[in-house]
Amino acid sequence: MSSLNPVHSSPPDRAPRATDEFAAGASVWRDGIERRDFLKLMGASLLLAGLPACTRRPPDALVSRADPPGADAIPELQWYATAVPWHGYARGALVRIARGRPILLEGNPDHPESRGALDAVSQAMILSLYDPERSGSPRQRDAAADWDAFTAAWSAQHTAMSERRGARLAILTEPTTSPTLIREIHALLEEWPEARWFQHSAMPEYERNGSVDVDLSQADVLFTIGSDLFYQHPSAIRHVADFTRRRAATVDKHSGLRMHALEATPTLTGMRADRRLAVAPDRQAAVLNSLTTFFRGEPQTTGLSSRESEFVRRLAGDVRKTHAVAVCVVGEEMPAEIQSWANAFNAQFGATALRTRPILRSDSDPACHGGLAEFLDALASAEVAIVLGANPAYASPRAAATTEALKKVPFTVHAGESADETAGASIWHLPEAHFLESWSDLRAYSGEATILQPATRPLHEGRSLAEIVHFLRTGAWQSAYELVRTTWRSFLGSAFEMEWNRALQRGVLAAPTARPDSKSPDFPWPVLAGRAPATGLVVLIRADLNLHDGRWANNAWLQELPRPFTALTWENAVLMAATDARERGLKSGDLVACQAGDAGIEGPVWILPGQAPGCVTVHLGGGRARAGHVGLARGFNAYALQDPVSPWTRAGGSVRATGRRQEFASTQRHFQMEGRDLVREIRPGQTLRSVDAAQPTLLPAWPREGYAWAMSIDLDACFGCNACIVACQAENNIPVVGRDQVIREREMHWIRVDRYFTGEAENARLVHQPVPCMQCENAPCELVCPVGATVHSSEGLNDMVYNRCVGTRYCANNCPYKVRRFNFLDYRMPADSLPYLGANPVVSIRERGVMEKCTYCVQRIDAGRSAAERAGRRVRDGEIQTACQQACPVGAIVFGDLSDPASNVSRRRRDPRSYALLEELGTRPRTTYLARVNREPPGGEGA
Amino acid sequence: MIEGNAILQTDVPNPARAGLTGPAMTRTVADIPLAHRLPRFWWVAFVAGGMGVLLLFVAIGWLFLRGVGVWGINRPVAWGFAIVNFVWWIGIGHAGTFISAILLLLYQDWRTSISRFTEAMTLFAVACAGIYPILHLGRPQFLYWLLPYPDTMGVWPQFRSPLVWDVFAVSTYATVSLLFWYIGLLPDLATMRRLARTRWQARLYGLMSLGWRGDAVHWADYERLYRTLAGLAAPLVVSVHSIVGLDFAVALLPGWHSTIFPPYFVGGAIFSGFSMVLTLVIPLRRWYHLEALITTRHLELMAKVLMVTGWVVIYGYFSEFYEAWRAGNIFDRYMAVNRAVGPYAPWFWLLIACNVLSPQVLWRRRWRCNPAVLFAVALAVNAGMWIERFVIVITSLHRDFIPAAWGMFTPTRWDIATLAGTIGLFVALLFLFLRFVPAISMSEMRGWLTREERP
Amino acid sequence: MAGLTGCTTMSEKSPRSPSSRSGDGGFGPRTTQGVRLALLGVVLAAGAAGVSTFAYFQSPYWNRVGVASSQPIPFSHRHHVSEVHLDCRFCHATAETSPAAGMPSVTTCLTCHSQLFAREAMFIPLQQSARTRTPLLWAKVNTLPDHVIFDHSIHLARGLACAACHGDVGSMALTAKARALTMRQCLDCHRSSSPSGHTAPGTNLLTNCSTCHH
Repeated sequence: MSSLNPVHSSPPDRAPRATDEFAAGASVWRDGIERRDFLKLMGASLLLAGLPACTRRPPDALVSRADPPGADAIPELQWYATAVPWHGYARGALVRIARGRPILLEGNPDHPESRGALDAVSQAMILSLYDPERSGSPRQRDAAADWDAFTAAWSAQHTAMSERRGARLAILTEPTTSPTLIREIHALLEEWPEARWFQHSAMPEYERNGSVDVDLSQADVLFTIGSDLFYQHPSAIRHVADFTRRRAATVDKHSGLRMHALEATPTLTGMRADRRLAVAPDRQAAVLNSLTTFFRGEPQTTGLSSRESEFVRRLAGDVRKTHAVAVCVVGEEMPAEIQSWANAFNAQFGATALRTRPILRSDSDPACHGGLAEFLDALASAEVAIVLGANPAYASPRAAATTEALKKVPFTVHAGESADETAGASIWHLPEAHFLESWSDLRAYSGEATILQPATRPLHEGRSLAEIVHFLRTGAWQSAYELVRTTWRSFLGSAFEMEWNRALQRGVLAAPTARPDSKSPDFPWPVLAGRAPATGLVVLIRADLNLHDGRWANNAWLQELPRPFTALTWENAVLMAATDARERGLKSGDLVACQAGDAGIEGPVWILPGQAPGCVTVHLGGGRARAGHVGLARGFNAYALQDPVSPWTRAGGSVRATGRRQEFASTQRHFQMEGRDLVREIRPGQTLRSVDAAQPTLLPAWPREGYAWAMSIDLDACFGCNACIVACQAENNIPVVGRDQVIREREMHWIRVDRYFTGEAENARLVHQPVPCMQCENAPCELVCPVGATVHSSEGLNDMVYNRCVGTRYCANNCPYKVRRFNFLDYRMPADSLPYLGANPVVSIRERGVMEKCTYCVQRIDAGRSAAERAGRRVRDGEIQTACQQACPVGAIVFGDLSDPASNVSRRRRDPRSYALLEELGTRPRTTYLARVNREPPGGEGA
Repeated sequence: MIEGNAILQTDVPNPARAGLTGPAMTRTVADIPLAHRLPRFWWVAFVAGGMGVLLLFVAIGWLFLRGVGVWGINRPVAWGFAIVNFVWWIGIGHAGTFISAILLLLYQDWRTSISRFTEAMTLFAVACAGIYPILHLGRPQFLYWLLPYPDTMGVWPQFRSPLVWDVFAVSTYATVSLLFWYIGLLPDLATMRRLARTRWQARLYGLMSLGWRGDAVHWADYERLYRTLAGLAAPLVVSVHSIVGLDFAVALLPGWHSTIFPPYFVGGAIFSGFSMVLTLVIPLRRWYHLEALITTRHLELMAKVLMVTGWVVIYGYFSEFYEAWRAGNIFDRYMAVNRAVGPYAPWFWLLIACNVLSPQVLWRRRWRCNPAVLFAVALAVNAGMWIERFVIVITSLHRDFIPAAWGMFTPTRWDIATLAGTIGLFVALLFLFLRFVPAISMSEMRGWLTREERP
Repeated sequence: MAGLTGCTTMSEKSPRSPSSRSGDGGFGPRTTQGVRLALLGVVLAAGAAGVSTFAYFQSPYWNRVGVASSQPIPFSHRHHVSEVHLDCRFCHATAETSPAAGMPSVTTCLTCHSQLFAREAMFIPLQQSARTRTPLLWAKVNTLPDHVIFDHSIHLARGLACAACHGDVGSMALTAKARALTMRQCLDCHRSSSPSGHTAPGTNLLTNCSTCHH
């Protein structure tokens, strides 16, 4: 498959046409039909899907193309290597293209920061491509305009600008690693030396730790301080993968990589720790100081609670084991002094697990003149202000000031993917092209570069930032393709074309050699000023796990993706420890006014186990003032609480009940296991009863002819990142139902991640359990369906036949795992809607009144089996991957053929940790689990 | 036959002793439909019912427009009011056939006064019940897929599913009840034809009576057919609700998966059926002055049936909890506890009050024979039986095996509207019946009376 | 039962019968007979309705078997297959390699028809399409039931002949559907060709629902 050029794709024309049903259109005759015809078919199919087959359908058209199908014939499937931008960093990805439409983002196995996996947010970017409310054409003073108008308007400015060598021009961008964009910006600054360039990002400063990078595959002890290294970090996938591999190697021993976490508010990372200590920020300094004395061998200072000193004792014990390599990772939201403490820690115990990485993001670019504050100062005297990509009018503690300042500037331009708050404050808004529809380039956190190639012709008139910057400088448009090639011609030098092609095919280019930054090599142990216990509550402000700084607010998949700790969708909450809530007589759902300094927000309280007493946590990304109807005004805007000086922590907060309540759109209502044996936990080396041990039953064993598909999910690996949910949603055309329907408990995700809190409230641990369809061999659902719409396949799949279902919902009642989903209302995306273009053409879209559920991605199984049959061989192990399996960063999910004893899944089923969920019911599930391992050495109460 | 009669004769005073003659009886009964001016209460009740029917149409229209999502059902509670109401109505529909068929075969003469009326009630209840399985479907347009017919797809219904059994059980029951009722009507329709005061009445009843002329041959055929149908209907009384019970018993949910369900449901059905008969008979005999025909003694006998079946139901409740405790299954135990103290506990205790406590009043003969008390108890039991089905369906579903998938059920206004609508439909049909059909079997009454007149 | 016979006596001396004439409400034996016949008629009519509905959905009128639809060009498979002896795959090129059999491009047609009969009026649409570079639209003949995922390539790979479903196109002057292509016809084949012989769903890959529906 050549990946030299973007896909030849015709602009979408979605006028539905009376025609045959969906599946025929989707599968029977694709050849020679232009993509738009195909889309028409798909569109019309939905219109007809609701009708019973009692109309005599007119015969519809077959098409003879004018030209023979040549190079541009549309194959069933293509993969293009590209990368998903993650706050300026590249996350390597393959985009899966079905019949010419990008439908799925998968990890790029060759990419060091993705390793074939992809996180939930990055996968959801495919939906943003088709977001109908993504900015499509330039706007002037919030009225529709076009590029010619802007070109004209700028050419006037351009001459003046050239004369005064860029004086009174202020440009604000987000920090980026894109060589082309940086090159263009530098070129502009060279041509106009008077121009000022500023950068702003509302996300934590991931470059704070300079060139220091940890390599967990070398560490024996990991100590995280308020860090979400495994989820909210540019190289999260690499780290969690390394971590899990180290852990998996030693499931049967107490040795191996041990982990300790010190944090105030729970993170997915902290919850993976063997021991986790949740204390408010003002206690953390004390804990760390006492650790320092430990390491210095000085006498222990007192003043620690029993839990704290226990934590210190055990951590110090692990660190001082002979030859133990211990690394400490500090969250970017933590104060700088704690980072310096960590540097000392790493210098002493972790040297061998530290790597130096090239600093490639433009944060500390010498040509840059500062951040948002400096930008605002510059605006006072500026005549032309240009904001590229960033949205400071919403995503910053200075939002209001920014809006004011921008309004005062005579000529303001905003370029971004949506006409957001900043666009509202600017005169001109230019649509930025989605990364899947234009050329660009980015570098990974670890330095490897990726050339981003478009997967489809632009759906709108968007243009890449590099193009825009180039135009601003030269006044002439040059295609992003040319700009990127110009950049890389200089890098790749001779044999450019060949290198270029390989780069596009592999999606990775080697990193430049890293130079350690010139910090002093020895790090003294700093004595941390134990902050005086704050009066009132400490308010912790954090980037949202799904919406980050709010930029994804209009992405319905991310809005409806259950937040890891609360299962909350469509809104944020004030997270609070049970003790604090009790003191103030608050219950979950009470609307409270949360004050910090003069700022305040109003939001519902959510009592969160594992939250340290004395602090509340609010997440950014809510309360958008200008967004599409998906993201508009969801939840509250936590930027209001941010203090420009220390944006992530704010002392002296208070919470006051308003007397009103709010109903939560949460996909899970009950977080206790009620003493049921659902998520099992064993000690290293312990053995569980075999899954395939005969259950007492009167039913005959299910015949296993040919393939016997099965799945195994490793609960010791799963850390609850939700990647599987989004992957499934994209692969299987799973609809979004909206907040009201979630409140009514009608969400449609085929795989859900059940979450249970164990242990006492403050130090509670969170265990995760992904639950897809169990594909029971004795499936209770099949017995009760009156029309045989769900029946067993010869390969052990529990087939769900949508077009036979009449919707009695008996199967859903009788499913002990409650994995069946029902279309209570018409949840289908409209046939003429843009997101519909991203639908997977080989998966039927379910109409109202029909049951649906996980199919083990039967469409992938069919494709794989057919391919194997045509080649006259059996399907190889690992050849067929389910969507959830493919996305999982830690390889928790394994799918394969049970009748092949050598297959990965068979081996897992024989694993001593293997067990079946609710096996006492005798359903004989094909989906089984591997129990969690509690590595806490005996004696210590379970961490 | 006469001996059998003597043996099984319950001591209901034959109205003839009270000086009631055949012609007088005929007049009282026949006057109700033939009268030109309708009593005010008829209009009140009928209009009320009519409003209910309108409401029902609106509710169904909205349902078909938007889908079953307009109801409160969700995941995990995928069955809601539709099933609750279905089971409730089907249960009510049991008294009629029980009284007519089984008591007929047992020569209980006292049934004569109420059989016709209760049969009608049965039909209307079954009609109301029959609506729900259709509304309940996600795609009602494909209802016919539950029937075995030779289609072009080469597929059949899935006969292991209790829902398919339901289709047969309910439709059979409806058909037989209808035939039984109509056959029983024939001689009376002929009488009405004779007594008709206007031409259209004569035409109508003439058409309805299918040429009944009262010949000896007619009577012979009639009696053979009537008893045969009675024989057919008797087992159906048991079969229908057993199968409805199996809808639940076959599932593996804690709270449903229990062998007690079929008998327990049949008991409950007759329980609710008789309570409904009482609820309707007590006011009507008063309004239409039928005390001579439907005596206090009748009420007392029905009260006794109420108590017997009431105890069957109580045993059912007991066994559910006993099994939950005895089996030691964590899920069953949680279900039992959750019913008693969980979020739906108020409903459970209301159910106990209505179905377990209130009938105990009837131990005292004075209250048993007091129409007012009896009426109150009957109402309580009607409500109680609906709540029982609500508790069985909802509390079992909303917290089953996996806590992460637990949820709550709150009915929407459309749930309520549909329930109210079918009640309206029931009332409307009932009063139409009273308007056009003799509410008491005149022919059988005559037989009963003449037995007394005979020297 | 004594009770029941009692009422004949009763009904004769019925209280106030309106007019002696209409004692039977105008329902003499003849009228009654008429009513009975009418009732019988109703029953028969209902039955007939059922049967004819069933017949309709099996009829060619519904499933268009043997009904040739009008095409932009009166293309004759008989000529190209039986007389010119073209292989099916000459035009339907991708049948063996992809889910879709494939329709020939206009250029394919023109390989011959740029010379042969090029002057004929019936080829005007062809030349127009070639000139204006607009696709040529044919009426679809073989339609499958709803919601089927069908793959030509795998059927050919399993040695199924085109004619098995499309009939003897070589004898069709104008192309028409040869078989109804109902789900039952699919199943007849899938069941019989099951390797294990038995046809209960779930024991034979070919009768799995997900083989055709997902």
